[in-house]
Amino acid sequence: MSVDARIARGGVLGLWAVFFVVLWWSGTSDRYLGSRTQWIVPFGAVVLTLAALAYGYGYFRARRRGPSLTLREATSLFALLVPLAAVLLVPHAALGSFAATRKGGITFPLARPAAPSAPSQASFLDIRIAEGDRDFAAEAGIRDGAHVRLLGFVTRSRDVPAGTFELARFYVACCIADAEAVGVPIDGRAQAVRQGRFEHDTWLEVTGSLERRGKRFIVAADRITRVPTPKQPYLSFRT
Amino acid sequence: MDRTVDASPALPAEPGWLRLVRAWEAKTVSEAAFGRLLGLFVLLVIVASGTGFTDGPAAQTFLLIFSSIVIEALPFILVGAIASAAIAVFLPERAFGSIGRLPPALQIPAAALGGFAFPVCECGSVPVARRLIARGVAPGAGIAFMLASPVLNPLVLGSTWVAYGGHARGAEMVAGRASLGLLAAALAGAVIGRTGAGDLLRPRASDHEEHDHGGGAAGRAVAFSSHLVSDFLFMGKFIVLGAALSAFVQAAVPQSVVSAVGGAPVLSALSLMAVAYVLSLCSEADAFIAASFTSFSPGAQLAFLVLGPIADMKLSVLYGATFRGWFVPRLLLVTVPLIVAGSLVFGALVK
Repeated sequence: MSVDARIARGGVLGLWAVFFVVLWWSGTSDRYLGSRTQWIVPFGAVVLTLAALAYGYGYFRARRRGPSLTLREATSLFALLVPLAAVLLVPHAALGSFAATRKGGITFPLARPAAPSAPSQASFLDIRIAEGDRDFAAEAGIRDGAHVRLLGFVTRSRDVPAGTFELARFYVACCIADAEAVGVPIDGRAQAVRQGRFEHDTWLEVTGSLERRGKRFIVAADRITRVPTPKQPYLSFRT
Repeated sequence: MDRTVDASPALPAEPGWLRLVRAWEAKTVSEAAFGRLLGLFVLLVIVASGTGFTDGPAAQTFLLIFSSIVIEALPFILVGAIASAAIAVFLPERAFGSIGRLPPALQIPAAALGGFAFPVCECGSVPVARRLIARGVAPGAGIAFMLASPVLNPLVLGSTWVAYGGHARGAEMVAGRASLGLLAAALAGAVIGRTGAGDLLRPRASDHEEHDHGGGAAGRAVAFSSHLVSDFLFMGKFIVLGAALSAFVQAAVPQSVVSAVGGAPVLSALSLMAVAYVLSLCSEADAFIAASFTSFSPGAQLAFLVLGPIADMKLSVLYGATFRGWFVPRLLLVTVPLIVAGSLVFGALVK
C-alpha cells in the first residue's frame, strides 16, 4: 500500500515544529543565530506548531485519503530532514580556527559601536576598532598600558607581529553565516614556554596590558589560563 | 517463408535517463519502501556520526553554516507561505481581475512600492509573488514586488541605517539602497515580466492537487492550511539546497580571496556582488557585513546591498524551482549592469 502524501508532509512539518520548540526550550538557538534574530525561534516554534495542527485538523476533517507519495516528493521531504540531521551531527560544535581562516580578512572598523564603559571591559572588536580610530580609542581608554581581559580561541592566523599568536572570537549579526572572526595578537612567550605551545582552537582567558606594535595593539599577557569552550562561543555586534 | 514488415513509423526510443526521471516523478512509494528509505536515512546519520566523519573542522564549519542559514530562513518561508495561502484562499477572484486590468506601467511601480508594506526577507516574497502572478497580477508587477520587498521593507532600511551608524552616512546608504533597489526591481519587472504567466511560472505538481475551498469558514481554513503546507514544503527544500551550496563555498573559499580586490570601482563592485551572491545573507543583516568592507568604496558596498536581496545562491535555486530556467540568467543580465552603473553614480556623489 502506498504512503499517503498528506501524512508524510504533516510528519515533516511536525518534526520542524518540534525542532523549533526544542531549540526554544533548550536555549541553544544562540549557537546558530545572533541576538538580533533570536525572536525567529519562538516565532518559528509557534507558527510551525499552529501550521502543523491546522494541517492535521484539515487531514482528519477531509475524511478521505490524500494523493499517494511519489518518489520525487519523498526525496524532497527527506531533503527537508537533512538540516535536522546536520544539527544532530554537530550538537556542541562551534566555529573555530578553521572557520576563522575562511571568514576573516575583512578590514575594520565595522559600524562603530558604543565605547566600553572601562578599558578593562574592552572586547576584541573594541581593540581592533581602536587600532584605526583614534577618537574611539580615546573615548574607550584603549591605549598603551591599559589592562584588559580577553576570552577567546587560538587561531591559525600568521598575520600577527613576531612572537605573538592570535586569540579570536566570532561576532554574529543575524546567523553564523555572517559571523566574522576578530582577533587580537597575544604576546604570551613566557606563559607559552611554561605551559607548552597552545594548540589551535584552545580556549584561553588572557589578562595583560595593551601594547602598540606598529599598526596593531597586542596584549602582553601576564596570565594565560586554559578554559573550557564557553556556553555562548559567539559575541554580538553592539550597535 | 513470408516475412512481415511493420510499415508504421518507429517511435524514437526514450533515453534511459529520461525513463528514470519519469519513473522518479511518477512512481509511488509503498509503506515498506518508505520505511526502508527512512531506515537508510537514519543509518547514514549514525554512520556519519560514528565514524567521526563530521568531527573535522571543515565538515563542522559546513554543517554549522548550513544549519544556521536554514534555521534563519525557514520561518520567513513560512511567513511567505502564509501570505501566499491567504491570497489563494481569502482574496476574491474579482480583486485580482481588477488589478490585472490595470496597465502594467501602473502595476509595476505600484507593486515595487508595495514592498514597503511587506516586512520579510527575500525567501518569503517568492511564494507571494508566485501566487500573485498565478492569480492574474501582471508578471512584471509580481516580479517587481518580489525583488523590491526585501530591499525596501522598513526593517531592512532601519538595519541599514543602524549598521552605517545613522547620521549622514546612514541616510545616504538608506537612500541609495532604497532608490537603486526600487529601480532595479521595476526595471527587472518591466523587462522580464513582458511574458505571460504560463511562460514565466514553472508548473508544480501540487498545482493540480485538489484543494477544498468550499464548506464555509471551516472549509476555507482547511484549504488555507493545505496551501500553506504545500508552499512551505516546496520552497523549503530549495532553501535547503541553496543553503548547502552557500555553506560549501563559505567553508571552501577564504573570504579574503574576494575582498583582496578592492581597487578599481567596477571590479570592486563586481567582486562585492560576487560575495553577496555566495554569502546568501538575510537582507536584514547584510548591512552589518557591507559596512565592514571598509577597503571598498561606498558605491561597491551599495552594490553588495542591492544585489544580495535580489539574487544570491539560495535564491537562484528557489527562482529556478519557481520560474522557468531562463529567469535567473535574464535577471542577472538586467540587474547587474544597472546596479554597477548605479553604484558608480552613488560613489561619485558620496565620498
